[in-house]
Amino acid sequence: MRFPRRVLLQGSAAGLVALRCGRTALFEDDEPNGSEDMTMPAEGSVRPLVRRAEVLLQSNAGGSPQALALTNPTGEPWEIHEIKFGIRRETDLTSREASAGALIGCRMTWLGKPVTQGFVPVWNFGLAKRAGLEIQTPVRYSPLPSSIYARTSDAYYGWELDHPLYIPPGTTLLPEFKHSGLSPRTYRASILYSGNVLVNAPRPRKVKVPFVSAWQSNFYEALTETGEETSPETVLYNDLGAPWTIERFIGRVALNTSLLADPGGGNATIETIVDDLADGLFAGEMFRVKHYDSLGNIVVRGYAAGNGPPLRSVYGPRGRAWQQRHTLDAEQRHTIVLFKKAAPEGTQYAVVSGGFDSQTIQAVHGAAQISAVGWREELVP
Amino acid sequence: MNDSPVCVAGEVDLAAGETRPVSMEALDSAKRDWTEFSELRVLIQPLVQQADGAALSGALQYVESVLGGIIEVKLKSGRHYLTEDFVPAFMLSPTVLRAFEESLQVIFADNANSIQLLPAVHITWGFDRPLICRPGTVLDAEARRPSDTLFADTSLIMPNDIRVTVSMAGKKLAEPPRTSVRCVPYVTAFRPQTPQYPQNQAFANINVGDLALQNPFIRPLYVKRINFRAMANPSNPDPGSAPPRQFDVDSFASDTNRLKLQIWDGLNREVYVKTNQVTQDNLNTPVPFADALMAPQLRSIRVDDVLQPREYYRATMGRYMDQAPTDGVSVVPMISMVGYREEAL
Repeated sequence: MRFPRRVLLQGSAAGLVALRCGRTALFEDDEPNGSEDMTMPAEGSVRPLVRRAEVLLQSNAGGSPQALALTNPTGEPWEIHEIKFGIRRETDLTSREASAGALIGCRMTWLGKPVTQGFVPVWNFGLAKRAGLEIQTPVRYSPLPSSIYARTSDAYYGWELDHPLYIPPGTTLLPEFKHSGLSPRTYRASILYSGNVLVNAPRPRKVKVPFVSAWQSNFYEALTETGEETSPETVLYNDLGAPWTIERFIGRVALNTSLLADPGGGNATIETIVDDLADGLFAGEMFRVKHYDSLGNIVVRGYAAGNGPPLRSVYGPRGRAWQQRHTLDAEQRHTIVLFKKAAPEGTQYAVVSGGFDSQTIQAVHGAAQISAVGWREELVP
Repeated sequence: MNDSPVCVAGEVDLAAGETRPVSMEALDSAKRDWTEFSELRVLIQPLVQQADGAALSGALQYVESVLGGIIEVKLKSGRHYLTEDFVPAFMLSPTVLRAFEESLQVIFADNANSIQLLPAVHITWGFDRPLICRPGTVLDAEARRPSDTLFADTSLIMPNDIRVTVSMAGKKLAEPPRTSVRCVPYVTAFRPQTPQYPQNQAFANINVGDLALQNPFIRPLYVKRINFRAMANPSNPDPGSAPPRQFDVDSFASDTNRLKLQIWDGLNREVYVKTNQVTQDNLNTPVPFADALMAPQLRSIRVDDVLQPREYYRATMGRYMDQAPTDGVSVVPMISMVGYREEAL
């Protein structure tokens, strides 16, 4: 990976922060997908800066964190290198519902220009570099008299930007969250920006601004339901009026599991979101894909009618991503056809153990969530 | 006209002892397009139930870490081989993270055999240099599932078919490449077929020999890394008794008295023998296999070497038991060499 000398020479913590940006390779041994350039103004001294904000989201509701909390308080320009999302359940802490990135979508704008095409599930932005660590299970005190400790799980996702995002003084990258409604419970969504303050840096004329678009399929019952659907023309679509350089596709599977009993709330049926480490038979067998673009390029050819390669064999297992830089011209789009096959004969719902006790699964529904993550160039106003 | 991403894939179901090509038709690219691939993936998943309605094998719950050792692949692009014969799938690349390699089919069960979880294993081989393919030629792949008498007679213990999906991801080139050579990835692996392991207080070595890690080409081979894996079976391979517990060797590797590793190059220079450990049992105590397996977590060491034609590495993989084994453990250590060479396009 090449970095301009001027950035490498910044030294100390600031230099280290700068080095992190653009590291899109999954591991140290990996070569990044093409050469990296850093066009950001890094002249003069820089210092690291982290800003964070959060918002409470009721089911099916939206909300925006305070923009002021995400703005550089010194009034200097800065550049964002990495964005992190956090999800924490705030109600019914004793239920065994698990958090996952499918629950919360995020929409962002930079100086009024879109960074996302509508709401994008927060786990569809960045590489899952440490997929096993995305879900954390802290133990918290609960006010419930019947339970001293409450068990829940939080979810965390990171997005290392492919290029630093310049933020002019007094502005910021504006996020807006939306609860997907997959859970009836209230969630706290947090967003964190880390980057560098640019001291005495010249204002750049052009910057590379991220752009992400995602498609979510319908939810399908696991065992018997079959189906076929095509991503609509409004997503994975370049409506920027300029070329969109896509760095990767990210494929996730949202599993929505209904249990027969709720250990924290009696016998009521509850909804549980299972993180996609357990996407096994959905991603490897039941979800099949065909993929083409609007120029007629066959990106993924189906095997035969109603069949194609497994989702995970296309949108790879490493980082839940398929890293392939390419350019999508204005008004062009990717189209994904998803086939849902029935589960192989002989399969049945298992008993989920762990937590308070064993639970019988009533139903599992799964949906594919596939995003295209990249950037385009914009003039700084 | 821009480059466009492309992913080709094919799959095949294998019974024990079977060797079959992987849906060749599906692996063909568009006939007129030049393509460039950066990554090959192998997805291995046991099928849930036999067509005859047989129940799931109880052994399945133990195999998730070694499915990549049970299934072997042989890869060829055009007239250039990517593997030296059949190579266990998990020898193609370093381990990335187990979370990436294994995904559980958590919702599916066979309560008769108390199987709650079924494993699927993803192997990803990121090429050090992209593989350029002429129009119409992408990949010829064969998959093999040998009947493994060392661990278990898989036809008896695991009657379930295993589905192997091979996919390759890259891009379709908008224009023909302006180069006359292409870098062709290459893997050669060594897996002992009939290891002689000690039964009591002895040190047994498996010598990889001169051929297994050799550059067989008439041009230089750029070796990027050497990978290590191992499979273990703590119960005797008796199909009539307890099911085989095939799993990764982490637990053995953490015991420095059990698996050792030495590597030399063709001039007998040490590549991987450095150690401070000296015991009375073996004054030239080699590096514990655990070091290669567990640090740096990739089960791989970076080499960045060039092997000239017919040059090779030698390796010795040994196993030491400091007391009489009581569990009849069988361990198969494996080693592979991964790199690329340049071929005329």
